[in-house]
Amino acid sequence: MTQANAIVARGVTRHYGDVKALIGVDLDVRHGEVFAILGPNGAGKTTFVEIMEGLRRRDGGSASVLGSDPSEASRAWRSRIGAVLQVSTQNDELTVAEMVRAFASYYPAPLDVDALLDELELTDLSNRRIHELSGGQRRRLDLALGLVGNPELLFLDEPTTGLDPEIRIRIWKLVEKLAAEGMTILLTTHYMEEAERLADRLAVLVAGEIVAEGTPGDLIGSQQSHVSFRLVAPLDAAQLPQNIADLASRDGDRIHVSTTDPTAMVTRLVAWASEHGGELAGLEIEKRGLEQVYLDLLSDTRVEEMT
Amino acid sequence: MNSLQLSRASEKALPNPIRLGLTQAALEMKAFVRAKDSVLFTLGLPLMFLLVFGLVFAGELEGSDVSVGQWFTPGIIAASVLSAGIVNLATSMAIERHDGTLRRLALTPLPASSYIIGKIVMTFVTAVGMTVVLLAVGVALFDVALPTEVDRWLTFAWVFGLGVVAAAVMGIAMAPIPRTAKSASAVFNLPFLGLMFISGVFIESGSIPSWLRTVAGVFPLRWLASGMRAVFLPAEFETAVEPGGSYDLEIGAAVLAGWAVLGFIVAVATFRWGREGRR
Repeated sequence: MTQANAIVARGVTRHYGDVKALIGVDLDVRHGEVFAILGPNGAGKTTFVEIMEGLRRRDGGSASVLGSDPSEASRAWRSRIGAVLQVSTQNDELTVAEMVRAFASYYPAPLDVDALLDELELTDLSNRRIHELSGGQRRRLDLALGLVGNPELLFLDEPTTGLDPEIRIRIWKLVEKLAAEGMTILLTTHYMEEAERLADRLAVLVAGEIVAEGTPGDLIGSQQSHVSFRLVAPLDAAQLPQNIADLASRDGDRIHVSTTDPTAMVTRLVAWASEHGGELAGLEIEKRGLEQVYLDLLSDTRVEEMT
Repeated sequence: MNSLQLSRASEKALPNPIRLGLTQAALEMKAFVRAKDSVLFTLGLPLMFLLVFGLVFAGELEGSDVSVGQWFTPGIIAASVLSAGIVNLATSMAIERHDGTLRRLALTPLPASSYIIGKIVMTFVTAVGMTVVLLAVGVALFDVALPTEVDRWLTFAWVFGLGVVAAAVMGIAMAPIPRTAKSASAVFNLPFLGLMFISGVFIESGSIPSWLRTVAGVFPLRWLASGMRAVFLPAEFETAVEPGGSYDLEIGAAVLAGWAVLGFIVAVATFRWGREGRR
């Protein structure tokens, strides 16, 4: 049996008054993959996810989530998705276990509550009132509530924002475990590290538009790397061949060259240097991480917006 | 130690909405009794009325052997039933709309009907709690006599039951009105207090202008109060005290049922899990 993708979004738009939150977003999330939407605050990540969850309406475009339009979803459809919203739940006077058991009762085939609490290290807190929990404990409860129905598709809207590094890593490990079990996960984050570590594929969303999409490796590979060296006599920048000079910039006594193929560039630079009887002092090849790629994408978009 | 099994069993049926509604009601009750201040003020409101009126008008009503406590009890019960719906229920739902609780539930397969059943059962329990506390203190301290005839208790049962349903669905219908959680209490207390003063709950209806009595006759509280007086006051009070010289229980039943139906229609039409999205 051929299965369509878990999420298929085409031209999804959303306006809040005159503000365009989403401008024609196309996105496919395959079954069994972890897909991350990476973007700064206010980029439209939450709006997009909440449209896919059926919590928000869209102004245009089409959406299919697990084969249904989320704006017309049934109870049966809701029992197949799980979600962790950006804002935590509020039912303060109940205990952790009471809340998780209540949510379990909503679903046709929930997970074993004790095992779930164990997995999230909430067992010791199971009799604690929700209003007594710390931020990190509360976030783990949110995860328990999102997972208790044993969803096929899990939405995680900024699951680790504001948490300390230890809890963040704990949540990452859980997500990796769920992904290994075949759960489809759509994650939003503004942490590059999180997207790079967890996502099979990711999209960068800036100002309501997807500006880049692919595997973390694709995104890093498609971008420019930097080769730089110190200009020491007898080398002279004016002697650089025109095709290198076009890619180069000068910062004090350092020359920076942008290239998609750093190995070839270094070979050419070494040849040029020895031809002029010099050598490349302080040669550096900057290997581009996703973080730098992401920041470049953000600044490119901002420049385009200004022009 | 249990290990988490994510394997998917064959398709199972969705849980029954009515059973889920009762589960919701049990949770609501648990959360309610744990908020001690809220319990105290909710159950204390009718008691405060009884204490104030009982002490201010100490003794017996002129020309009758009915105690002041007995005289005020029916009106206080009527007001309690109404406030359990249009104040307590409406406020708790308005807060849940604004604090994210409803949005979170909207993502689950919990049906709206189960959520609403939970709220109505909770309203019923709240109204029973207020009434039991009021009657216990009334009997112990203010010479309130409970009716002995089965007929009167049957009247009590249907007036109370119909009153709770009408008040609860009205509360649900009104829940979307406040624009913030903070304003909810103020928004819902105003119509309640207004009705209390025009419906002859504590004031003899003879001292209310007739046009205002006509207005009150459209709303449920005046009829709830008449029904409760039919339960708690001696037979001779009917001609002496009631507007029109009769409890008019049939009209009362019709008005309460009318509000229950109207409230239900509006509640179903306007119920939203959030500001948008899932209905």
